[in-house]
Amino acid sequence: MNRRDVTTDVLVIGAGAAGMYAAAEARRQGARVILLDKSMVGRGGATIMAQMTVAAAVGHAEDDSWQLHYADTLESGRGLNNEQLSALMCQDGPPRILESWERGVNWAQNGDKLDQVKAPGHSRKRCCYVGALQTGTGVVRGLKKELRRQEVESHDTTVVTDLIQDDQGAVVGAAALEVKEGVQVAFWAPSVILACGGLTELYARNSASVNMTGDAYALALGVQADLVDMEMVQFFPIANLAPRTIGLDPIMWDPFRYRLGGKLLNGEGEEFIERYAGVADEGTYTATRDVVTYGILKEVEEGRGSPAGGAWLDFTDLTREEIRDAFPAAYDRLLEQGIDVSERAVEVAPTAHYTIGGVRVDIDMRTNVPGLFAAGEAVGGQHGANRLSGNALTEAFVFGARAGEAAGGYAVKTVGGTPEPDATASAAMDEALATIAGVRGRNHDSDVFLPALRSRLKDIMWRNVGPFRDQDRLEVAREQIAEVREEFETRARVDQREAFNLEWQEWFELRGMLDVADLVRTAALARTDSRGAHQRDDFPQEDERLLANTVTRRTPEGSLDVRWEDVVTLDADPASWTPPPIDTDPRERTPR
Amino acid sequence: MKLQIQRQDGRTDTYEVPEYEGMTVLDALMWIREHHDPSLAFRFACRCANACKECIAVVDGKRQYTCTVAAVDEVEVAPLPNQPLLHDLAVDH
Repeated sequence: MNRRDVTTDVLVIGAGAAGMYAAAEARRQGARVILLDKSMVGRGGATIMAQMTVAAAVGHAEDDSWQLHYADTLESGRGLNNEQLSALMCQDGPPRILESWERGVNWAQNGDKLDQVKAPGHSRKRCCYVGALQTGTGVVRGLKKELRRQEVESHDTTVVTDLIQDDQGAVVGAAALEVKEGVQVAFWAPSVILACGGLTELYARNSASVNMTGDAYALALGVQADLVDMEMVQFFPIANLAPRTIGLDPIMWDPFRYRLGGKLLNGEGEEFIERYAGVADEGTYTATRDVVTYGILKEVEEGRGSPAGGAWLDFTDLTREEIRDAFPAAYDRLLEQGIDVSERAVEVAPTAHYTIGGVRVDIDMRTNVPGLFAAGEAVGGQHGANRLSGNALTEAFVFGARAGEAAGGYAVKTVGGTPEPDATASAAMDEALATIAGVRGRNHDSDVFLPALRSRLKDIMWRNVGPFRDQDRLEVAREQIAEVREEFETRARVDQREAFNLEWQEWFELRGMLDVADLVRTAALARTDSRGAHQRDDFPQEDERLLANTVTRRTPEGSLDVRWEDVVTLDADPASWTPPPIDTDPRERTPR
Repeated sequence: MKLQIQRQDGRTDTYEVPEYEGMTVLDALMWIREHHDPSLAFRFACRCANACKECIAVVDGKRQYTCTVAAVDEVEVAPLPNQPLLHDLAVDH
C-alpha cells in the first residue's frame, strides 16, 4: 500500500468559502491547519459558481440592521429556523463582509461605500456583489489572498473517505485518497471541520458542481453525528432549460431578473405566479424560490408548461441596449449562440440548487461528536424551510470563521496538540486505508460503470424525492435506491491504475451518495406536511404539530433513526442579543 | 459527431457520440465515460458555467475550455502541453 501519514491541528475538508474562511481563522488561533479539497482549491465547490449576491445588513445602500435581516430570514424559514444560528449569521455578516473587503474581496462599490441591491425576500437593499456575475470568483480570489498571508497548507484532488474516531468516540483524523498519484493518506488532527456541504449532485437536474455529492452528510452519518431537516432541498425555480446555452451558468437568469425584471409566463403566455404567491409578480421578482418552483411545476402538471416542460422567461419588453448595459458579457455570449433575449423568450425550469438541511451544530459549529465541527452549506437549521437568496455566502463566511476559531481553540487550548492515536483510532485508520486500497481494480472487467450508476441514482432522486413528494414515490425510491446499491456493491467497475483514477474516487462518492439518498428520503417520508422547500402532494398543508426539526442519526446497527426536536429559539430580544463567546472547553458541556 | 481523444502514451481513441442541440465537448467526454470508457481521465467540476476553469485542454489545436466548445462534426482533444501530465487529458495545473 502506498500510504502517507500527515499530522496537523485542524483539518478542514472542503475549500469553498466556508473552508477557506475556517482555515484562515484557525491559523489565527495559532493552530497548524491543512485545507483539503477533492477538486482544485477554490475551484470545485459551490462558491465559485455563486453569481449574484451576499446578504449582509451593512447599511451602505439604505438604513438597515441585522435584526431586520434576521426577521426576513425567519419569515422565509416558516418556523423551522434554528434562531441562534440565524441570528449569528445575520449579526456577524456585516463585519465579515467589511473584513473580507479589507482582505481583498473586490466588492462592487458606489463611491466609497459598498453597492447593495435588493434580492427576493429581503426587505432592504443589503445584497453585496462583485462585478457582473462575478461574486463567486471575486470571493475566491480575495479569500485565497488571505490563505497565502496565513500560510495555510492546502492539498488538492484529495477525497476523504472516512472520519476516524478514538475509543472515546472523538474524531481524531480522516482517511483519504490523493487521486493524482493514488496515495492513501492518514490525516491526524484533533479538530476536523466539515466544509464540504451540498448534495445537489444527487439530482438529475442540478445547478451546482459535480463535486456536490453530499460528502459532509455521508461523513457525518459514519460517526453517528446528528443531521437536521435533511428533507429540505432547495430547488431553484428558473434555471435555463431551452435553448441550451454554452459556457454560461444555468441559473444566470436570477441576476437578470433582479436587475431587469422580465416576465415569467406559462405555456399560454399568462403570468401565473399570483395563483401561487398571492401577489402578482409584475416584474418585481419578489416571490420566494419555493413558491416559484411549486408554481412552475404545477403549471407544467396542469398542461400549461412551455414546449420543453418549464415556463417562459421574457425580457422582450426591454431594449437590446438596456439588457447589454446590465450584463454586457453574458448578453454578447448569448448573442454569439444565436440567442437574443431582447427578441425572444427563453424556457426555464426548476433545478436542485442548495441543501437547506445539514449537520446539526451548536452556535460554536460543534457537532454532537467531540472534535467534529461543520461550516457553510454543510450546516443545517439556519434557513429553516427555505433559504433566502444571498444568505449562502453569508453563512459560509460567518460559520466558516466561527468554526475555524472554535476548532483552532479546541485543538490548541483544550487538546493541546496532536496526541498519538490510541489503538482504536489506529485500527480504524488501518481498516479505512485498506478499504481504499482494496477498491482500486475492483470488478475491473465488469461492464457496470460508476458514471452510469450515478446517473441512475440521480434520475431516481429527481423523479421520486424531488420538488414534489408523496409516500408512494418515496417508497418507490426506497426500492430503486436499494437496487442501485446492490449493483454498486457487487458489480461496479473500478480501473486498476493508480494515477488520476476517477473511478476510484467515484466509487467512494457513490457509496456516500447512496447513503445520503436514503437519508433525504427517510427524512422526507417522516415529514408528513408541506412546508417551504419540502412539498408533499399527499400532505399539501403545513401542519402546526410538525413545527419542529427532523433529526436523523445512523444507529450503531446501521439503520437511520429519525426523531423530532423542538426548534432552537433565541430566548432573548434580538435588539440586545450578541453571540456568546466561543466556549474554549467544551468538555465541560454535555453534547446535545 | 466524432471525438478524437489523445490518450495516455500518445495513443488516439476515436468515438462516435450522439449529438443533441447545445452539446459541448465536455458533455461528449462525460458521455464517453458513462457509456464506453469510464477510465477516461479529465478534470471538470462546474460542468457548464465556465466558472471552475478545470476543463481546459487543447481542442482543435487551441487552448480552450471544453465546456465552451460546441461538439459538432469532428473535434480533436489533447492535454495541455507544458504541464505535468497526470493521465489522458488530466494535467496538474
